Amino acid sequence: MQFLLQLRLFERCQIWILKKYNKKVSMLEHYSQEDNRMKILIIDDSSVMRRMHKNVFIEHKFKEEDLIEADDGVKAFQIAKDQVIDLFLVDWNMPYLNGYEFVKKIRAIEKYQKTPIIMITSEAAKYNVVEAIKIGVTNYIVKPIKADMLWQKLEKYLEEKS
Amino acid sequence: MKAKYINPFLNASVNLFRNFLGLDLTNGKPYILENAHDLDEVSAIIGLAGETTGAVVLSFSRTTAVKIVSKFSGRKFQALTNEVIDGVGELVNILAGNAKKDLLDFRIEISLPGVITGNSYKINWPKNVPIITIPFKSEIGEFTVNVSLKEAE
Repeated sequence: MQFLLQLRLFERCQIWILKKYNKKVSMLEHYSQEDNRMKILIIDDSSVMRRMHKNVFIEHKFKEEDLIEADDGVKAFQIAKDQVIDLFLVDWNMPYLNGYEFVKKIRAIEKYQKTPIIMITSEAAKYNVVEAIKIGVTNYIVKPIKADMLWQKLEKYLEEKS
Repeated sequence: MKAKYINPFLNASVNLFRNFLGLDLTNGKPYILENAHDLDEVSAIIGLAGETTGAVVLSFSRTTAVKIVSKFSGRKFQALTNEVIDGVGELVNILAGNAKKDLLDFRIEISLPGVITGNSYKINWPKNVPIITIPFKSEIGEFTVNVSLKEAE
């Protein structure tokens, strides 16, 4: 009797693990499928940081051409005007136009009033966080952040869109 | 310089190098840097402005810089390339930005980072303000975090 119960429990665990695995596999393929493709604009003056952020998306099967990079706010603003961006990752401290000013300009454009803007910055002071939220930043992430943690924080905005 | 101005930089360094990068890190006792030129071959600098002024310099040998940026970025670099220099700048940016959280006496803006390499260079430190050096040792080399910050009146 006890053996049978253990066997059933084992089977249930197996099913649960399989379901979880399949869900993960399908989510991995999800972002490369034509209907679910999203354009992400990664704005950071550090090429190392841009590469690190980009890798997070590439690991989740995003296509390279959907991951657009800009190393300052001016270039990023031009790209955002010319194309339709589904998610912004933006640093605070950048030359020419910093992340704070960039967000203010982007939020003034009608098509971007609800688009998720994630600020990823080293600026950890409370007043910086408050100011960023006030101008319409969707989520504020303080660097450094591990790739898996960053994905966890970003995933919900990607799911909301699709 | 008061401990409350040095500790935020010490804590930010420990958070970055030990907690985030997983280095086996030990720090020595902070001391006053008598010779302002007594820094290593690679120095990343960030200026502090706003309700006070100051500067933070992260300094290490070429070898340590390459190893630390390799660890930070997850890519294996062999030499001091432009990307390594970019990475070093990003490290000091994280250090200064994170330290701001605990510098409660004043509001500070941080500048864009700059990186200097070589054996002979001069840094424009704030005048008449001591430079405090925090020495660190890790399995991939030694480095120092140097802070000069005008105290609140």
